[in-house]
Amino acid sequence: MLNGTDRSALLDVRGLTTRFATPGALIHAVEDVSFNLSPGEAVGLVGESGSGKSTVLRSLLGLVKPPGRVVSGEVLFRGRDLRTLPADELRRIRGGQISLIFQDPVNAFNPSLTIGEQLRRILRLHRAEAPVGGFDREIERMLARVGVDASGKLNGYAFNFSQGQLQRIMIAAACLSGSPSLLLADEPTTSLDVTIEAQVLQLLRDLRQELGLALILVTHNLALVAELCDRVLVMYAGRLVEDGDVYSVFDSPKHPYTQQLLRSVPRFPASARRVEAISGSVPDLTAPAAGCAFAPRCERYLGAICDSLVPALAPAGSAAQRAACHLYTCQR
Amino acid sequence: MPALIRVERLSQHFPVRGALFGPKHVVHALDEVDLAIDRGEAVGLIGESGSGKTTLGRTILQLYPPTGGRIFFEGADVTDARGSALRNLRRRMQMVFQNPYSAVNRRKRIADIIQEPLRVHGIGNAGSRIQRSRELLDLVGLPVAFESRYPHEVSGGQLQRVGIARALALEPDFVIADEPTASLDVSIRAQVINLLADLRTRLGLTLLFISHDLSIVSYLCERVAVMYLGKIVEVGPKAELEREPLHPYTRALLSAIPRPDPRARRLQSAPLGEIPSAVHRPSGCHYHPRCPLAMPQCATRYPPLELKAPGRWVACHAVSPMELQDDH
Repeated sequence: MLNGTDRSALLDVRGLTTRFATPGALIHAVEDVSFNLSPGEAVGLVGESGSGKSTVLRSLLGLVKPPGRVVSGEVLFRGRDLRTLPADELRRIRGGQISLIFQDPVNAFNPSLTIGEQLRRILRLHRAEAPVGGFDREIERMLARVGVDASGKLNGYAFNFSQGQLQRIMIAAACLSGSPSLLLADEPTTSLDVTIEAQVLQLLRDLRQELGLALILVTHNLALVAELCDRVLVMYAGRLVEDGDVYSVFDSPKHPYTQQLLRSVPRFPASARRVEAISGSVPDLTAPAAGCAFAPRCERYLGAICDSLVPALAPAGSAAQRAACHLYTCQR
Repeated sequence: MPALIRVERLSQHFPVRGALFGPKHVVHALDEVDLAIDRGEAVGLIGESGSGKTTLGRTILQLYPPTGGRIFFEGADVTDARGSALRNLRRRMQMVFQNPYSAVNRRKRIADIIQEPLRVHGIGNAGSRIQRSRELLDLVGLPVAFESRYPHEVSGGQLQRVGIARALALEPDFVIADEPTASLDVSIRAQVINLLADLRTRLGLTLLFISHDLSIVSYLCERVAVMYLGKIVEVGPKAELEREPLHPYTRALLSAIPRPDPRARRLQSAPLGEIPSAVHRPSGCHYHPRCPLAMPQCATRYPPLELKAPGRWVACHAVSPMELQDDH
C-alpha cells in the first residue's frame, strides 16, 4: 500500500518540491516529498521548525505565497491534480472537500466581523441553498456539535470568546460547513493549554469517526500523533525520512533521526534525570547537503556514502515502514 | 535553617477598567499564596494560562510590588526593600524568560548581553567582564566565538543558553525560569532541560521552574506546586504527586498530558470546561464548576490549603487526611 500508484488513495502526493526565493538565497523548504493517504486515514506529519511540514500542507492546497513557489510535483486528490486545476475549481475544493484548521485560532478570525457573520459567509460559500430553518439555526447547530453554546453569542466578536472556544468554532467551520473528506490541521492545539488540548483532541477524534474524515495533522509534538493518528510521516530538513504505521514507528523507529527524536521526548512521569538530546542543530536550508541532511547529527553515521548521496525512502524492516537511510539501502 | 525564599499570603490584585464609566474590576492574579523553597531545591510551578504562575514569579522578584503579604529571603522580610537593598536582592535572584528573542536587545552582541548585569551592578572592569562572559559561555555549552555574534545569528536554543548565561552572570542563589523551553523544538528543548539540570547540580542553584508542561517539571524538580486562578491548590513532593495526585484539578491536569505512546491512548473523556476569568472567579472553591467531586459547601467556602499527608498540602473539601492514611 505504501509504494507505487494506489488507485484507492484519497490523496496521492508525488515529488512535491517547494522553494522560497529570498533575496540572496534560495530556501529548499520541501524537497521531493511523496506520500499517499487512504480515505478516513489519519496521518501525523511531524518535524521540528524548518523541517518543511507546514509548507507541505500549504503546498497541497496552493496556499504557498511568493517568494515561495511549488516548483514541481503532483497533488492528486481523488485522482485529479490540484496543481493544474483552474483557480475557481480549486477554491471550491478548498474548504468544501478539503478543510484546513490553523494553529492560532485568534488570528484565524477577522477581528472586525462578528463570529456569526463570518460563519454565515463560510456557509453561503459551501451550501447551494439555505439550510432548513435558516443560516443562524444551522450555525447554532454546528457550534452545539463542537461544544460551544452560541445562543445569543453570534453577534459577538472573536475577542468575546476564549482561545479554546475559537478553536472549536474553527473546527466547526472546517468540518461542518461543507462536506469534507480530508481535514488538514496545522498545529491545531499548540497555543492551547493541556486540558483544552485534550478536549480538542477528543473532538477531532469524534468528528473524524462521525464524518469518516481523513486527517493530516502537522505537529512538532509526537505525543499528539500517538494520540490521534494511524500513520506517521517524519520530516527532516525538507525531506520525508520515515513513513510507517504509528505502532511500528513508536515501537521500533527505523530512521536514526526518528530514533533520536523519540528518545528526546520528555516522558511523564520522568523515567530518568536526563532527557536524551540530539546534539547540533537543524541544517541550513539555503545550502542543502549533497548527502543526507541528518549525517552531521547522526549516531549511526556510515561514512562517505552519507555525505555524498541523498538516501531514498525505501522499505525498512517491515512492509509497513519506509526510511530514507543508507542503513537500509546498503543492506540490500 | 530558614527557607531561602518564603512567601506568606502573597497577593497581587490588578485593577482593570471595564467599559467606559463602567464598574472597576479587580483581577486576583495572586490571592494569599503561601510557598517556601529551601536552598538548593527545585520547585515546579504548574497550571493553565491565567492561573497566576508568571505573576507569582514576577512578584517574588518584586518586578511589581505585591498588593498584600510578605516575601522573606533567607528569613529576612524583604517585602519593602527599596534602593540599594533591592539592588542587592536582585543580584541574588535572577530570571530566565520564555522567549529569548524578546528578552534580549537584538542590537547588542552576545558578549554585551551577558556582561550587562555585571555592568549594571558595577562588577569588575572591562577586562574581567570579558573574561567572565567567556566563562559563562563555556558554562552553558556555547563556543567562545559566539561572543561577537548578534541574536539573529544564533538559533533559538542557543539564544536561550545566552539568556541562562546572563541570568547566572551575577552568581545568583535563586533563579526563576518562566517557561524557558516553551518556544523551543523537541530536540533543542531536551538540551536546555539537561543544561538546567547540570547547572543546578554544579552551582547548587535554587530553582522555581514555571511551566505548563508537567513532563518537563518532572525531570527537573523535587517538588511541584499547582496553581489555579491565583491560588495554590496543591503542593507536594514530585514523585508522590505524580503517582497519586490529590486535588481533582491536579488529577485533571495530569490526565490531560498526551503520552508519546499510541498504546496509551486515553479513552476516558477529557477534563471538563475551561479556566474562568480571574476577574469573575467562581464563588467558594474556584474549581468547583469544573470539579467532578464538587459538594454543596464547595460553592460557598474556599477550602484552606491543609496538610493531608507528610509533605502534601491540598486545598480541597473532598480530600480528607484520613482517607490517605489508609492508602499508606
